Amino acid sequence: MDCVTSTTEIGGATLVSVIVENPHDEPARYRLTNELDGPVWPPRRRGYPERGWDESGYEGVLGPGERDALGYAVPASPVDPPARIAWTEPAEVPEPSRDTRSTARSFRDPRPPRSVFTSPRWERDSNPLETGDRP
Amino acid sequence: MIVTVCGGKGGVGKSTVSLNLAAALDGVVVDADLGMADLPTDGGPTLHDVLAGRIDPLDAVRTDWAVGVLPAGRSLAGARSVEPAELNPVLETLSETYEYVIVDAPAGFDADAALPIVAADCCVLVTTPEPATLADAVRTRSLARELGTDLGAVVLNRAAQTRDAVTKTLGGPQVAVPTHQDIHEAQQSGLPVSYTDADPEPVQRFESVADRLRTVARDRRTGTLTTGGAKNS
Repeated sequence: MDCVTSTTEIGGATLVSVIVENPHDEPARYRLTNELDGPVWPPRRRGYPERGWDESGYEGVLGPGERDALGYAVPASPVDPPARIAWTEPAEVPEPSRDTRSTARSFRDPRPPRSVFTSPRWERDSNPLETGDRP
Repeated sequence: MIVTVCGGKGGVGKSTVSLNLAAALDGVVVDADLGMADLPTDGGPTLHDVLAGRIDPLDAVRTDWAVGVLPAGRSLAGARSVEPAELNPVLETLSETYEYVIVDAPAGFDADAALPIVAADCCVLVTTPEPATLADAVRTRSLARELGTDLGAVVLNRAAQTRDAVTKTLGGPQVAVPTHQDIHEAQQSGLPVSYTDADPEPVQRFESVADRLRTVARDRRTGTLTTGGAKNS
């Protein structure tokens, strides 16, 4: 499995981007592990981590010649390399799963939006157009 | 057995059916509407507290009420702080103690409506005969099919008798529950209709749904397929 990485440091965290390519003629499952000193902040959809991500990395399947473009963040300083392929194995055909996380990901988040809880004090201080007192 | 009471539209009687089924089956009812609670509560621990890991699910069940209830929280902040996907392990935990866990699912097609269907061993679809409500029931039926959950029964609420057209559209065994003042008054007090000095007729209707679910539970235990399970209908 070929793996190319790069890092960007921003606001005390490191953004890691990875391109993984399967150069072989057979589909393969692989595990990418984070080498930085901190927990993986995975990409999220509707609040839930994308499929394949966990605290220490990512697990996925690539067909022959296919590529994955991956990105995550870690609250730590960069190291070289920031991530590596821990293992690969021949892949089985993935079965559609009926699990809770994938269901949660594929439906809309039922929780009220964060904006509902905006503090009135913060709003007043941050709004330069506001001149009068609020009731 | 985990039974999720669902139906696309709000106000069709899911909470009423849930409470009365839990009474008939001596089960616990979980108000799974994370944003807008439907069943009464008393200021004690709620599903929000359970999902946030502040209390064990079994300790949050009101066991001294007419029916065992795990109420939903009512605060917006509580609804924001929970992890909806945590509901499913909570339901599993309850089903280790209670033979029947009845989940009162929220209306709509968000994750909080879908997750209890995924967790369920079978679902009870509640609808009224109005065309708009039936259309939403059809969508919920498709959702359950897609999520791989069997249909245990269809409750045609506020209808004097079952309708062939509904059976044709939704499949599954159908029970009609007529509009009845006793059901309404009992629900207002947070009680199943069987706990009031009521006309036996509505009690019997809920009992038929409960009977159907007992059959599903027995068939699941013995591993046989149910004729009306409608897995492939």
